[in-house]
Amino acid sequence: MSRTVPSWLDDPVCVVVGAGDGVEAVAHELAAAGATIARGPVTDDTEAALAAIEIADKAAGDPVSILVHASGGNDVAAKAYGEAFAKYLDKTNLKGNILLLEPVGAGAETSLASLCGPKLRANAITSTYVATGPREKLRALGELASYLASDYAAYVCGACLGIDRSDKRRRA
Amino acid sequence: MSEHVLKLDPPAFGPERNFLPDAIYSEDTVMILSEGSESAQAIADAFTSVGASIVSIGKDMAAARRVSGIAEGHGQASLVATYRSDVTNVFDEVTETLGTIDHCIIVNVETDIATPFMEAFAAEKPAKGKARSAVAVTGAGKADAFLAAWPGGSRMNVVEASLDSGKNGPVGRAGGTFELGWAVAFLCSPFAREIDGQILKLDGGAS
Repeated sequence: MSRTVPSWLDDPVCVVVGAGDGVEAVAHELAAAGATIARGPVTDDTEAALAAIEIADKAAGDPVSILVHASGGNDVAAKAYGEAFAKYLDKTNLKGNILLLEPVGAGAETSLASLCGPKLRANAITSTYVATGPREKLRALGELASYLASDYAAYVCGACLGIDRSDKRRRA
Repeated sequence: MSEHVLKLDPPAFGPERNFLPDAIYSEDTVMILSEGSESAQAIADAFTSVGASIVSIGKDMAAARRVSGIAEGHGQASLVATYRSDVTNVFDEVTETLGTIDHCIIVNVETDIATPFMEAFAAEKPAKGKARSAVAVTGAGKADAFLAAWPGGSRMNVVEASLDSGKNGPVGRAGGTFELGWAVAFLCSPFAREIDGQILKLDGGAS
């Protein structure tokens, strides 16, 4: 079996925000699936978040269409990067998708409800493995993220999934 | 290619390349319990296009053949039976002709009908080194019943699918049956081998 996911992504630019082994695993698998990865700072300031997205756009020479956000449970995504990404997509007249990586119980479902829209597909992975975990769990996190970010999951919107039964199962 | 394959809606968008690597399921046998719906046919297509053999259990033989026909269209082996078939006989015949069943897919079938097949699948000794999985495709609100009824023996996930409701959600369109097929094939794939006990709502964000 291949060690990484297939080329599910068609060379999108993806801004990754946040830290942790799970976040790194997601960035790794998204890159393996075909994404160009840029990093953004954790911030609760919408203008700073928009600036980070626009810097990634300029540096890559292509529009940003994926945003991965791990707030560490502080849930600033909807307030800052969510608003910034929505503004950016309006300005560029593009569609995008945002993936929240949160610990179990961080209230990602509430954020998803405010993020989903005609131009923005939003999904979440809520798992203890976002912070850290065994290698196979981190890989699974990255592989699930790659599927959710891909056009193969274009009909998946507002979904909130865990990795295994140790992540309290969520209605997605 | 059989008429059954041609009946499926082709993807109207998205990458043209294959979703999963060619032949990723070439050593796998997939049991599909269904009423022979287009959703079940699309799921069969997602598996057989990358090498799987199919055991189609239908409410009747006509329903079972609508799904097995997809396998035949891809040149893959298949076997048919009905809900009323003797479960032990079905599993014995599968073992003789196709080998052990690796994946159990239940498509909009009530738990009381599916339970004997789920229990037989759970009791079967897995082939050495092969990862087994199960996915139930249900309507809204039925996922928990399947997770509670699952007898174990493999990982199990549920897709709560509502392909029509997406027209009223953020996605703004109905879902394609092929998208349901991709979701199920992903959840059974080696790329999801750690994912267990999860519910994927496939409704275009309508709920």
